[in-house]
Amino acid sequence: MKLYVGGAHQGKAAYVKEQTGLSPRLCTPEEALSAPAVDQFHRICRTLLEREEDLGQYVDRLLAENPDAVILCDEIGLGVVPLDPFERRWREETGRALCRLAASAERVERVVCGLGWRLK
Amino acid sequence: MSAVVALVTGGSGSGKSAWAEGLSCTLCPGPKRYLATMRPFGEEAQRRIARHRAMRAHKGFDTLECPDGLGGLPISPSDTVLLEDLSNLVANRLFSPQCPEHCGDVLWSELSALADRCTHLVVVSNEITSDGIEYDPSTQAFLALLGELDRKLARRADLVVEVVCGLPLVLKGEIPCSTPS
Repeated sequence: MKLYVGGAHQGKAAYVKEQTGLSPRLCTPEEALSAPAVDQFHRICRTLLEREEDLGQYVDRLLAENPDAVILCDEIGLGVVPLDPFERRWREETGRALCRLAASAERVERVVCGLGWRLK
Repeated sequence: MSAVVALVTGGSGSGKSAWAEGLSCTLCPGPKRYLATMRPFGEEAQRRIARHRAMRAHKGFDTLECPDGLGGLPISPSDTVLLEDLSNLVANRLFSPQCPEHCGDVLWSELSALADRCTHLVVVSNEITSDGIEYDPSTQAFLALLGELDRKLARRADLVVEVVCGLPLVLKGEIPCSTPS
């Protein structure tokens, strides 16, 4: 597992392509279980929460079934905490999912202005 | 010191302005150019401008107002230039009624031409894309364009720094000696 996080429009996909040769792509939650490089993981989290599925269980499955995946995810939790309960839950649960992925990942980088900063 | 192009980014209130000013003074202790991009509309803008002017007092900055773009500015090859900030400049251009069709290309050519024609260039940008909000299309276009210019400038820059609590996180290059940390 390799994890790349950062704000929107920071060049994560181009950076990952440069680093790994893989082209990250948008996936459904099911496709992400076998895709080599998954773009916009925060959207997968949102889809699962919309379906009222358990994000924690999904992360367990992802780690078990696709342990070598490269995951790209926007940082979405640095703004004002939203009033809307679903929006709040999305940020919180996405953050927790990233913590779980990062704990198992061999490499974690944060991308700012197209430049990587290795956190792990 | 050989010519330096630097990009300084960070969140709101992170201390990036003061840090970028310190960097500019290290690069050039003498007279410098300050390119101001904020439109002086409204009380809040006036207050911010007054605060930044006071911070720059006695540091050798001569202020040029350039809210609409960087073309035609009286910049000479020996100048050290601090541009503050890129997000204002992008917003002013993108949301102006005279916005050119390829606004991003125009802004990038102005910015790279500025880097070509001065000695040191320090550009302050803004990290505002980590809140998870799905904005309206025009704001999304602004964030995308700012991100694109940040990435292009970071690629060209010798030094890229993210400022956190007034402290520099160096993403690329090395901070020149004697910059206050």
